[in-house]
Amino acid sequence: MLMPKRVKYRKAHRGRMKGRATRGNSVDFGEFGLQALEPCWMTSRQIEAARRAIVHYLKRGGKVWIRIFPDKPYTHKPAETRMGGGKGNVEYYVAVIKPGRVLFEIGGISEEEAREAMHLAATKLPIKTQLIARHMAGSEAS
Amino acid sequence: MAQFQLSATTREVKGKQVSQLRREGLVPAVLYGRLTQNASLALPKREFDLVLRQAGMTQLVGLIIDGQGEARNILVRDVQRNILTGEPIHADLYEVVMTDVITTEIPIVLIGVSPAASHDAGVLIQGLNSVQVECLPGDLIPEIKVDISGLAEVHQSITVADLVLPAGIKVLAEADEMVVTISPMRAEEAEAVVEEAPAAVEPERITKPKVEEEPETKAKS
Repeated sequence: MLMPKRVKYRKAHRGRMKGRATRGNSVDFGEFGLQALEPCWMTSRQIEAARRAIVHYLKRGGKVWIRIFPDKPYTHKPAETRMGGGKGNVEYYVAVIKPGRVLFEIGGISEEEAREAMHLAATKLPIKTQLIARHMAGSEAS
Repeated sequence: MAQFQLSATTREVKGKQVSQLRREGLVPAVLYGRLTQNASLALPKREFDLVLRQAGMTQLVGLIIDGQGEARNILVRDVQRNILTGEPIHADLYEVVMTDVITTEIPIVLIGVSPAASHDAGVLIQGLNSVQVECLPGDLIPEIKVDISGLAEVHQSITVADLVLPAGIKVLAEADEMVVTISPMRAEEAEAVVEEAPAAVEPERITKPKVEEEPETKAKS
């Protein structure tokens, strides 16, 4: 599963998820992408499950790009613990997703296959998503 | 000269009030050029969408403002879109001077079928979707066609140097930049390798290396 190799600080503030994704909101590597329509904290398990769904459907064909990385530590206090005593332990890592963010990209396959692969991946994710095609520079003609 | 026509009206509304225009089915736009007085315009959305789909950003469009005067030769230089719906929010229109060399991007379109990709020997990966060129506005072409039927083996690729362009168009991209390539199929065991074992490992902390004080500097002061 994806997680940082090295971190500067072990625990992080929760932050906010206002607004839309201003970066990573277009298909840049493949031909089709899966775009988030809602904000969420996506765990490394969810990302891995979606990736496996795509790879399993594509067999050996196509190429997959993961455009997000879970770099935010999620802490959790043990059950039945009294308050206080500092921040909880790091349980897992999440990626902060804002609407518009491209989560996965696929290349080298037909649109029907991409649609099905992304649909299978979307069922593993906690948010609504949509399939988008690459917007090439000056490609509105095609 | 221009094959496509677009009509626009002069826009007085500026700033945040332009969202009212969008609700009325208009797209705010700005017109500029080397010999052109900048102008704020409003374009009918449906007409603009249609012209953009047909002409793209690489073909000259004739723009008529307020139904008066001659059609101006323009290029759609930039379109801002809503990232979720894809609806155009704003457009930049560039009035060209036919004798001035311009720099623009021409889309690359793949034609034919690669034998390697069709026989499941490899995956066809397009690295470059458009290429930056320099030419006179009159020499612009809508797209660059690249024949991929010659790609029969894995790791075979087509670079910018292999592009066939008409005279008058100069490519600005690096000659060895990859346009399309056949990459090898993914190994099946690759997905099985990543197991849950690394999840328990805690990431290493980045610490500042301690700087040792130099005794010489202290002695000097």
